[in-house]
Amino acid sequence: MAKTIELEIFRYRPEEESEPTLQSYEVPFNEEWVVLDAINYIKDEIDGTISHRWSCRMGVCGSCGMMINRVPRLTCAAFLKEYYPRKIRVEPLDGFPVERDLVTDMDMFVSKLTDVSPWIIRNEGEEKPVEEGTYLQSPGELAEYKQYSMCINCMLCYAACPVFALDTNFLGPAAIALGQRYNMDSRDQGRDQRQEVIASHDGVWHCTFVGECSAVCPKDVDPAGAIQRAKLSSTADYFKDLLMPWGKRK
Amino acid sequence: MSYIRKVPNTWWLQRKPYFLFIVRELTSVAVAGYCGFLLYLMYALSKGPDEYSAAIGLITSPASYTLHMIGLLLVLYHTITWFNVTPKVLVFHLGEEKVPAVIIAGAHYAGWLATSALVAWLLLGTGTSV
Amino acid sequence: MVAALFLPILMVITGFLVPNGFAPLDTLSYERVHSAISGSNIVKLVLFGVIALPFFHWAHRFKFTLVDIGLRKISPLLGVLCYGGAISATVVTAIILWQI
Repeated sequence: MAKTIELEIFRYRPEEESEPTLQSYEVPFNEEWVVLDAINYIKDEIDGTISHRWSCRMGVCGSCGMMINRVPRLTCAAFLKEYYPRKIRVEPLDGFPVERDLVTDMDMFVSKLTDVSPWIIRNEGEEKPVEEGTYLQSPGELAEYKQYSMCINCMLCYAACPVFALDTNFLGPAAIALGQRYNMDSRDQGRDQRQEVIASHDGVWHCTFVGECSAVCPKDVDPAGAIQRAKLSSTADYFKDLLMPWGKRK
Repeated sequence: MSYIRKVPNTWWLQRKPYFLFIVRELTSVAVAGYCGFLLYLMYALSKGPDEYSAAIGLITSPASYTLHMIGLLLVLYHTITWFNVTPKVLVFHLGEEKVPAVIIAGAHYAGWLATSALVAWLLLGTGTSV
Repeated sequence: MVAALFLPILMVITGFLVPNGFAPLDTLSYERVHSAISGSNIVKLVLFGVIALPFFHWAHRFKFTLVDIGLRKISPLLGVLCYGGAISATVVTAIILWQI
């Protein structure tokens, strides 16, 4: 008899039920399968009513993040054999409202990303005309922020963050790391502008440094590190302003 | 209608990293407790020799031994978790290379060792044996 | 930071070395401790830092821990109690050290 593995899938169909339920499925256990393969198998072969998001199957697009046995992971990068013979519980990412089954409402996340003005900001009048070419940058200057630019917006860090789950006003790991990505870019001059959002109560100061955002990040962005560094530089700003109120921040 | 899941108050018991986080934060209770004890010693010191002798006599009691043991474990956990995350906060580049985390954390441990040695020398090394 | 650096060694000394006799007997005697502190404002200042600052460390972490494990509704009250407690402890520390 072929080996099988049990998947417990979080179901929520707003037109049918007011509370979510768990539904069990028995799928073939295949050494090479990831959890996403198993969900797709259920969708194609057992129960077509399941809704879930996925796209690239190779850890690049950031669409298929879900809670697997309470840990946020990309389902395309979580092999069944890591769990076999235990059963696997799949739920939508923690912290976000559930639209349907495994699909979350991520509007909150997208608006947080735009809140940090994630683009290169130049002081007025200091924008280089196009004919003068691009802003040059040394490899060292690139290294300053490169890590933070690797984010694929999979939202695993938000799902791992108890602070966000308890209070969704928190700007959260990926958005702050994205802000830092531009703050540390030698071509950018927009840090002061971003500080209003990043150094606020709902920004870095809401973080209690649980550190799980960095632990679950599939791209080693280390948002927890980005947040702590932003705390440090915001504190430095505060003391600079206190000691030298006449000085202007650059 | 989107469904909003409630976070149970026991969320920190459900996964080890969250539990360790809460333990790490609650080490602050041991920190405050010990500083409260030091404060009490200072209070007794300001009152006079008899009060101080009674207060300092407490450290030989079994209760003090137990509390110090628990407190020391928690305070050590705080120190270690704190120094281990210092490389996340302090990032330096030498050219294109990041200064390795081991060096930054290591510097903190070295500073800890030096501070501890200094305190031990000040309190113990300069005392006269009776 | 102060707590991380200073408290472990102090606890080892007051909790184990001195009571178990591994340290000179007069290490924490009234005469020695009193004369070391009363004559020196620098010693008082260091002690003030070592004793008072960790209360703020406690206030901050303890408050947020209580909020995180379910007392979000009374968060402002907890803030007053914790930070207020730390400020009071600081004032008391200053007064006591002043009187030595």
